[in-house]
Amino acid sequence: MDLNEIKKLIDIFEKSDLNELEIEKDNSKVRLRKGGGFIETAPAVRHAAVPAPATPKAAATPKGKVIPEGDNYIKINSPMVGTFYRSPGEGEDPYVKEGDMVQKGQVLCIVEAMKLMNEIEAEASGKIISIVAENAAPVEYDETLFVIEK
Amino acid sequence: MTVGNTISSLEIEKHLSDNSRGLQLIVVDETDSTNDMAKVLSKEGKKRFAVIAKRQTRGKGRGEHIWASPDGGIYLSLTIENDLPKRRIPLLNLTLAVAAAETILQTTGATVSLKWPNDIYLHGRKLGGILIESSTGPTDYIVAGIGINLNSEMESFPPELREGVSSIYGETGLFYDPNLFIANLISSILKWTDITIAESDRVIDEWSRLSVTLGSRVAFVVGGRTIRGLAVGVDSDGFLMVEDDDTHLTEKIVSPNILGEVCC
Repeated sequence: MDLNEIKKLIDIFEKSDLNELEIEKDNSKVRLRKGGGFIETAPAVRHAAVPAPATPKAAATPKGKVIPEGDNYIKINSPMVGTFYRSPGEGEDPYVKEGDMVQKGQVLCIVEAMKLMNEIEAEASGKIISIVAENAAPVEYDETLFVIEK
Repeated sequence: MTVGNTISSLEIEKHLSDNSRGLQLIVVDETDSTNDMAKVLSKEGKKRFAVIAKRQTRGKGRGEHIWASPDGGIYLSLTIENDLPKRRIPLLNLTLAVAAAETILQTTGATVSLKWPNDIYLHGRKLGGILIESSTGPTDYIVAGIGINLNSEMESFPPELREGVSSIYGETGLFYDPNLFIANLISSILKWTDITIAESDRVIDEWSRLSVTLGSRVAFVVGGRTIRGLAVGVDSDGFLMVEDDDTHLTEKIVSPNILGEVCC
């Protein structure tokens, strides 16, 4: 399985409701699991008589940010597939920065898709403790963009 | 003096169909942008209304572009309130384009073509465009903006734009009643947004039938990489599927940074 195939597989897997997926093809095996944030590739063992070369495990976390969990924290997730923008236009100040206090209903960012500009508002008042998504980067449906501490 | 100057909410109401009852019409002679006005009102909690301007001083086009909005054009921003799941809002670009095409055909007899994601063309030149702006969170609104060069005289556009722009009047020499046109457009938009919820395949099929994008060669910049290839279809969310010349993979275009069509 080449890198492009694996990338496509990850893409399909991310959009699915599955938590775990294991696929064997061309004597290689790929196992994907949500939550753990890792991708594992290993040679498939089809016949005991055919030893396959060892493939090293690859560990990756898609984003370097840690998302805190707990009743005090509100995650603001993307309502749609699109591109994440922290400011209303190029060269303009970002709507919010980490550490800012925000009010319920305040605009935090824009997620754009097909030229449709969608403003994302704070669901509750609180402090922005983490901006998880990167400016001008693609975001998936339900991907966490911000964490607010109530 | 054009027929565009006679736009009035009373005249529009006379022609509205049943699905538009209860919709408040706000008609102004001039505003910066009907979308901006509709957004401000939406943020104040106002629902189910349309803003119509006889001209705009800062009509909004794609990105930072200004939409030239002289007298005679149709400048409408309509709020959409329905049960469409949030993740499917971008599909409304195709919905609005289909509704505009239907209205133009019914009212003027002209058949337009649609370019992904939000442009309306007549005889290879731009006749209209769509700009949808929405908010998710406590305010929660969708403002669907549409501009169509109905009774616009070509001389009213800036000289540098004239070559790429068309208007129904410019093409036919005929003026059409803007009040009837606006009423038909509102009814058609509301009808097609309901279809988008129940049978979105019909929107995709109708858009595809009128599309000039599908089957043509396109180029986009996605994440710093240029994708050139053949536009092979749109998926169920309305995103364009492009068969990449280099990788031979079919790529989904979500956020088009449009380089323009490439002729082969």
